Amino acid sequence: MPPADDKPELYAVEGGVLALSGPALREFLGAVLDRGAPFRFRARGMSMDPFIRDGDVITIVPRGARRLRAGDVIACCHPRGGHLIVHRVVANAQAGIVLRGDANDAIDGVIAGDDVLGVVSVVRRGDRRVVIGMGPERLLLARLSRKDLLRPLVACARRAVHKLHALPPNTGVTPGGETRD
Amino acid sequence: MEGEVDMDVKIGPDTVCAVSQDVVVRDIEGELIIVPLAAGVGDLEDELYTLNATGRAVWSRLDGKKSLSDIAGELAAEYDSPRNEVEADVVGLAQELVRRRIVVASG
Repeated sequence: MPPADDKPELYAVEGGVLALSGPALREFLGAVLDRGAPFRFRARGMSMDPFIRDGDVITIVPRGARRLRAGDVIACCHPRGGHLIVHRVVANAQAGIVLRGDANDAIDGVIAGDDVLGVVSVVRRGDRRVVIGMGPERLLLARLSRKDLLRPLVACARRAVHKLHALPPNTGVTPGGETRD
Repeated sequence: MEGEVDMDVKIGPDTVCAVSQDVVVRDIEGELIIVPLAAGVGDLEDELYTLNATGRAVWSRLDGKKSLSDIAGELAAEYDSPRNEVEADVVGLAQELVRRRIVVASG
């Protein structure tokens, strides 16, 4: 047996530490979804920040007969680069759907509905389930993204939060902005 | 129930094994990666499995037709190794694969 003195062994690999390349991940994703089963993996990249962050664990379910709507977050191959992306549907077009990463400054392009691999159903950040960006408000996020307003609004919200956190304690200013006497 | 793993099957040289329908297996850059569909979910966050080169030689022969003894015979002849030692190793690996529901056994 190859090599002669080597016993056949099965090794368990901690899935979370396995860094699969894009094509390998796409291969597994496609193979699992083709079976009608959901697929869970750790997202990498910042293109959907803050709604999906680098390191969040996302579950993708087969699209099935579901009609895709603006705001849905889907997995597919990039229309130009061919790499796996998980981005938001920002509009429906005659030839398919228009995609964009929430943090990206441009749309990805149009992809045919048949090229959608699956739809994001759950996002988990540590022990918490992330609900903002995946509920009914996703339609509004798609509209804002389409009008190039989502990124500035997120940046504005971030600045406000940072300012709030930077306030020293007992300054007389409450989080609601009211001054205490 | 069809498709259910019978954990009571005793794994021995006469057992015939086949890869379970509930796993996704891909050769990624020369490494065999096995993802069990645990509870119907393909989960890259849970444990995945891989085999060493010798394990792959066994895996490629788990076709649901050959017994473990047949497989051991083939490998012993191919690699000029003692049959009884190879058979013990093949049965040991099969037990582990069945225990983890990666492989199903019959007979």
